[in-house]
Amino acid sequence: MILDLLQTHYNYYAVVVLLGIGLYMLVESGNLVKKVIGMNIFQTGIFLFFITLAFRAGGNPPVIEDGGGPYVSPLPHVLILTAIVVGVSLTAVALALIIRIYSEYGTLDEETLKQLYYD
Amino acid sequence: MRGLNEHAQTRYFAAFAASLASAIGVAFSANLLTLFVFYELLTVSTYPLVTHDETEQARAAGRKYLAYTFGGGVAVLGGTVLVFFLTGTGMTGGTTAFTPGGIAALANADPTLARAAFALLVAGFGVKAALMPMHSWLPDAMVAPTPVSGLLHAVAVVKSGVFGIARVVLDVFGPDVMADLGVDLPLAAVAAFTLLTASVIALRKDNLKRRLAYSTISQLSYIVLGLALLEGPALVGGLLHIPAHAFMKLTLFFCAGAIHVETHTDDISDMAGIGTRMPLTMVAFGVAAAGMAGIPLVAGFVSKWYIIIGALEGGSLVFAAALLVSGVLNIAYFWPIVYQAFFESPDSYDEKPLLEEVLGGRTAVRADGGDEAVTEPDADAEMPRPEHVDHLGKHHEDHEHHGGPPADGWDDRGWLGGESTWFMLAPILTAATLSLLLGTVPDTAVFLRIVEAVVTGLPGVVV
Amino acid sequence: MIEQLPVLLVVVPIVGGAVPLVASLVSNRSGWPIAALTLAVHTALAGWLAWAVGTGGTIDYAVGGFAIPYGIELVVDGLSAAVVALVSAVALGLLAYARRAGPRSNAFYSQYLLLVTGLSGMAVTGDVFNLYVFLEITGLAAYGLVASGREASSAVAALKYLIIGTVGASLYLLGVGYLLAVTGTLNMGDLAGKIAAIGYGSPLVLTAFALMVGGLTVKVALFPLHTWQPDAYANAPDTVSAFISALVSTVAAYALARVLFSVFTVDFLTAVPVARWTLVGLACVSIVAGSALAVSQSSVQRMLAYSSVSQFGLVVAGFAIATPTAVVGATVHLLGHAVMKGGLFAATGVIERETGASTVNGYAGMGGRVPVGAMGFSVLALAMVGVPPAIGFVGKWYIVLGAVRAQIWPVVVVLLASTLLTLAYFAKLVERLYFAEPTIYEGEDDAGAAPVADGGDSPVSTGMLAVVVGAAVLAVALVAAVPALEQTLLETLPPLLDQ
Repeated sequence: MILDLLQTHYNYYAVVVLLGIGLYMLVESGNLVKKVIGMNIFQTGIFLFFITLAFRAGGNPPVIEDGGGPYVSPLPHVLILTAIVVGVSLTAVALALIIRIYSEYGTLDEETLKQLYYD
Repeated sequence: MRGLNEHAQTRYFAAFAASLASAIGVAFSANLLTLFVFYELLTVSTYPLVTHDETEQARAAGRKYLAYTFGGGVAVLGGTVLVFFLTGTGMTGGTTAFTPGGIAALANADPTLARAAFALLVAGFGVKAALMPMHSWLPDAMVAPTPVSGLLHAVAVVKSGVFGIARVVLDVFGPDVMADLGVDLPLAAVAAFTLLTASVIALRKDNLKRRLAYSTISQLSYIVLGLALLEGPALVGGLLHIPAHAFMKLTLFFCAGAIHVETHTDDISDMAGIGTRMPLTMVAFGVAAAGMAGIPLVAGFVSKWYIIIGALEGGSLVFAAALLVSGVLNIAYFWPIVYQAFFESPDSYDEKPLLEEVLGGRTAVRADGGDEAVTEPDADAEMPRPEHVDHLGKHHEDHEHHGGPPADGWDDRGWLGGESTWFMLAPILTAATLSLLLGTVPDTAVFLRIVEAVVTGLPGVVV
Repeated sequence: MIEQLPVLLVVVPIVGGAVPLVASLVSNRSGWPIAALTLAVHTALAGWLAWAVGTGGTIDYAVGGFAIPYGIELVVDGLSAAVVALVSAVALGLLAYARRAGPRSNAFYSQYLLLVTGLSGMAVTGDVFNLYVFLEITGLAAYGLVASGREASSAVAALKYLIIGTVGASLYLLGVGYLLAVTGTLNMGDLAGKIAAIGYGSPLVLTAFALMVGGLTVKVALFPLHTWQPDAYANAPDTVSAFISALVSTVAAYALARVLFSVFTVDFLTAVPVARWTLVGLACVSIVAGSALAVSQSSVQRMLAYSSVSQFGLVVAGFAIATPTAVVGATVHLLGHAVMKGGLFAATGVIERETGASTVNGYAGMGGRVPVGAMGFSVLALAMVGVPPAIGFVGKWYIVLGAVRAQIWPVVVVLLASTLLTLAYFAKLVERLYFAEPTIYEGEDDAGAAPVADGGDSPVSTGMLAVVVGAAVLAVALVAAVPALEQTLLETLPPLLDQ
């Protein structure tokens, strides 16, 4: 039973694992760059979730050809293309901020930064 | 005010005008919501007056004032919403419009919620009406300049609270519904308790303005008690006591202010023999004090008479007794002031029935900030008084409060107004005369007729 | 033309936002006129749209001509029209403030217009994924604007804001994924019907609700998800503080309402009481905790930020109670809060520039030094407390009335107590402003008033004062618009009517 679930739904487990790793890094890591990486992994988990939704067994790529037949749903792919663009811009902004922080404070460690910040 | 070169005059007079406007708004409101709007505006516009001195004490009083009155405001808001809800059906709108004899729909409302609404409204208005235990902002607010004390204690602020209660009793719930809900007795009990306790506390106060403040608390409860008894004559008496108390308390405050400005005396124990120095002022004081105690021929008698008649008609002997006891207490705390002013001198005077313990008497914090102007604001505004140019307010507090008689006793200034300027004496004497008129010819003085018209307009109430 | 208005509201600022970047090749001073022109057009369009919705009812627009529900739909009803009008009016008004106070680079104005794009988009969209995109556009622009402060601490605050905000938006996106999985559609109107058909008890629907609402409450900054807000507000430049405090959380709260009413509908809240009560409980905790935190702040801007936490608790409570009266109240308070809080931040900017005072104690005695700023601040503070007849009172009145009609007594108590809680921190400030001895004296000013950029200019322009005064006047004058708003809302939010 469980084995069965594992075999058929392994994508979803990957999603959960990615979300978990991402969130953990986001919260736990003291390094700002690693936080941003965690944020990216978290978002990747969501992307994978959407793509998995679109899949159907035996579906063709959603390009309409003569043969027809079942296609995988094109909608989530479109959505995730947008979401990836959003994610990339967020990462860019975050990294730009980190560069500024590093050049001002000379550290990327959150704890050190907090001490500097509240002094 | 103006003559004293006070600081922040613009703010002071702007706030004063705004207070008057809000008070008029309270009076003219046709429903609870409008009343609430002006009630809150009154709080906001009187706050700068209370805090006017900008001393730590004034700020503390201002904070207390805001906390108490806004707390009351919230209760009023809650009560208003409840009334609006109870008078509507389901999701459709209700009404809070004042109707003589009560809003009809309230009679059929859920009794528990109706009681809650009544309790919230009365508690909310009771803050400004200084019902115990919500009274303690009032003595503290004495730090305000004297015209403001007059406004706070005699006219606008406290009367807006009492007026609110009157509206709730007469025009929102109505005597019948109140009796059905059984909320009249608790209200009367609170009022009677306040009336007696405040009188006793007043006995213990040596600072004149503080004593007057507690006297105010006590007198306001006469009005509330009159309303809560729900008997025709008691309603008449309660409502009539609103103007009666206003004139008498104004007189008393003006006197206290005049004494302070002329002699810098604040404590009653320093006033022995002051009758020779300020004869007209003290006569006016005596008249108003007699009225407060309910001596015939002064305004207070008429209203108290009606209230007592109402209490007896309703068979509430306890409340009638409370009223009489309080009258005695009134004499007990006012008479010594008048007596020692005329019949004693600084050299030989008796101990007064002051209970000089930790809670009262001389050790009490002196409440006023020391920069009063005394007369009505308009008269005051026109005329600088050169003799007070040195009187600059808080920075000189230490040596302004020397108080008491000069070393060689009080001067004899005679009876022709030498004691002060006529800008101070005229308002004092006018207010005192009006209290006399209200007491001697109540039917000709317009208030009794208005009040009787109001009360006879209520269904089911016989005057 | 009228049916094109919703899309124009998004297109105009985004095109206008690109222009300053190009123009900066020629001159770096051209940002302000371009932004002013763009926003003037935007405001005119928004006003026209609000009028059209008020008279003619809901307006739909299918983007790109794709058939609904497959394409993206823009829907403007009374609620969105009001929010769009607010966005453009506040954005235009704050430009007057930004001319002297703001960062003056063209890049700033590009971000400013981008933020307006995102906010307008969130308000007019009728598609849950589209809402996510605009949410992130809003976020990106806001992060950039917060970081435009001179001190490096603004970058730290912006990064914190970015990380927490992104998590919130991602949670929302995940929720959208669940809805897509269970219904196969993203159109709000379509979703409402399909969710009802599937059944409100479905675990997928419940998860989607939790994720979407949870994600949005991060953006709204309800307690305990508010931690980004005080840092962001306090470290951003004055113009930006005023702008984002007035609009970003406001529009996020609008999005929350939109998800509640247009996607899940009131029936869902009725069928799943736990969802409603969790939200109401969260809102009440937010009201109390936000006020308690605000009282303990020493920096005025942080105090105002915590005050927002509390006030949005009030708004969300109104939406979650979800009776018509409460929703009208929440909307009124949403709009009113935006005006009041924006004005308050603008006033703190004026006071700080004039005197260097930025802490509660520093405000002592400033009433005489900065008369207009202090008076504006006091009026807005009292309006926020809920002194009638200001807008803050009207919103509260409706929300409380809604709660009473729903007979949720504990909430009624919290709502009423919120007045006193708000009073607790604002009274402190007003008292200091007018009735205390100054702690900062003339001459010490220069240390604090560093942002006097162009020597010779007064640090405070007439435009800045006008913004403060305008906000104070609006805080009272808006009351006149409430009846019209109420009627439009009740007409165009049909699911609310059948109660």
